[in-house]
Amino acid sequence: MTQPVSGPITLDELQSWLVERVGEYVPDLDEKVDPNQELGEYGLDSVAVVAFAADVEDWLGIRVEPSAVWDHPTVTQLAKFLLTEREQQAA
Amino acid sequence: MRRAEFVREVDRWSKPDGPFDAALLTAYDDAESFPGAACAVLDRWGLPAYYVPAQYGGRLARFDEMHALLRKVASEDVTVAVAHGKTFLGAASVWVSGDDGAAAQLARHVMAGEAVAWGLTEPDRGSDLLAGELTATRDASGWCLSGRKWPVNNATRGRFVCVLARTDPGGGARGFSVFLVDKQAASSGSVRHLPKMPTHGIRGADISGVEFRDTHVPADALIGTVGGGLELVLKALQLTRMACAALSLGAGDHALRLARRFLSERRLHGRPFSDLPHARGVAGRAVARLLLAEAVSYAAARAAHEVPEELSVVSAITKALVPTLIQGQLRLVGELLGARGFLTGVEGYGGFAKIERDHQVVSIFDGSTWVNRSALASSLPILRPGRRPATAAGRPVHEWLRQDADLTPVDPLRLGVMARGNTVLNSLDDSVARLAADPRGGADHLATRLLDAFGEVGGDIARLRPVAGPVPTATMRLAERYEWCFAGAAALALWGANPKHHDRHVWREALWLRGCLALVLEGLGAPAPEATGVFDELGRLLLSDEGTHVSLFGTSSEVSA
Repeated sequence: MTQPVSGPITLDELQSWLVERVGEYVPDLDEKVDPNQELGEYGLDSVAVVAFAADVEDWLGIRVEPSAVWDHPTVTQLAKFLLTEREQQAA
Repeated sequence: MRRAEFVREVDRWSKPDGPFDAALLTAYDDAESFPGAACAVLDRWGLPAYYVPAQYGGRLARFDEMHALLRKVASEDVTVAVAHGKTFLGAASVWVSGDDGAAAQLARHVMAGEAVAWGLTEPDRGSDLLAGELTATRDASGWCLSGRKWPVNNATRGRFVCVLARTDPGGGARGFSVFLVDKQAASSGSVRHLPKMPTHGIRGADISGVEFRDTHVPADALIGTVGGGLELVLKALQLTRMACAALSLGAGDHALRLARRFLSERRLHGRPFSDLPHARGVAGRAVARLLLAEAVSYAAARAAHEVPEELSVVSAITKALVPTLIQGQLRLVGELLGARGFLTGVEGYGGFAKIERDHQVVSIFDGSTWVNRSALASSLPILRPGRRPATAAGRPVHEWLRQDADLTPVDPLRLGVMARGNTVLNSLDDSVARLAADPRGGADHLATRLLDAFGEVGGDIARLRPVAGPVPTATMRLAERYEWCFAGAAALALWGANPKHHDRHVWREALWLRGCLALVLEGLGAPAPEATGVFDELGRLLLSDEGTHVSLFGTSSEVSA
């Protein structure tokens, strides 16, 4: 399991971590995960994102609803959202 | 109090020439016509008020109570329960939306006896909610609906239909919204009904469809937010799936009545059939299945009040497991009845085939066993033992499972689409320890075995890596084992929560608990050889004076609400 991250994190780090996770969920993908592609197109449908959101929770140590992935369906969008969310939930 | 009154009324209506007379309902079934008279007396009694949350003026304050009423109706006739109870399913999305204006308005109609249908499925789209093609587009003063919903229960008879419509042509998780359509208010010709479908079960129910042809609906027909439809439907399903379990329990009650009567009447080679150990064992298994299904449903109904955040998982388990348990129970009863269960002319027993046919449909609607099990399977990684509990500790399970416990009022806003814990299952350790401190009838040994088996399930879950796409078969099997563990934990928690009952009939020597745990261990592939005698004991119980109403908490009429 992923070790929770503590301390500050950059948008880039967040983004590459998400890209890595998506890769794990789609083990037989033979291309690089495009951060601007919708996750649903990688097979991370509305049901699969439930576990995905939980992974993100574990790593960032904040509450993340699966609907966050519905609202921010690409890695780029999700990373931006999560960064703000982490700052706010830490505050 | 009204619950006891209801049980008496339904029993009265079931007498010859009453609206629930079995002969009459069989005739309706044969003719595939709607059991209108039975539904009308339920309306007159005021059952629809139990489909409306108390905060909107209804009488739905406790799910266990509402389920008990539906179970009673289903124990006479599943078709009637489906035809009438459907309104709760149709209205549930409105109740969970938190939209007080829309809810208050719908509440008045439901209490006045108007039926509400729930349009989720579309022709050839299967159970994928996000495959729907019925669209809603904005027009000058509201929305314009176009497309079909089919097959839908009460699509023709219901004045209202709650539909999930595509509001973003691209679809996706945010591409759907819920609309409550008043068919009476729609301009004439813009709503067409699709004919009733002949079905194998619930033949009298109005299983038909509805087609919208550029149907204009006002702006306030939108329930919740634009794009919020999937979330709303997923939450509503959590409530309706538990109501479906009540229908299963009713079917199980009915079947057990027939089994009891058969065993006491039938003689073989001059001896009562019930003298055969095999017959008693089969009957006892049928009893255990019903009681385990009841334990799961009971715990789930109360979880809706106390840990609604966990209901996505609890309701999926309930809907996957309870109809499956009852389907197995019906098979056992069918085995006992033999040919009698299928001969329509044999007084009393001929009804068995109808129960089985009707009940099959319960396994399918509001998500089949497979759909619910896959939803659970996708959530398993979150439920792995040791994952940090994200919800604050609430009231202990042993407090809210006590029969006379006051329940926290339902708060739909606490429902979510991702359960972060499983309070009932996590109480297993504690329940096993309580039982060890006061062991009865050897149930403690079975409980320890269950704890070991759950340890293995937990280990398998910890090794699980979630993947996108269809759920692998091995994960589905793991989800099934998880369901059995939940069922065992629910039974043990109910036992621990109700010491006052420990000397009452089915509770004596932990009889029901041993039967349930024996079933659970079989389901987990770890049968306890020493437990097989328990089914014989349960079979004897069914034949005793106490076997008229087999239930954990006595007949509904003994329970004052």
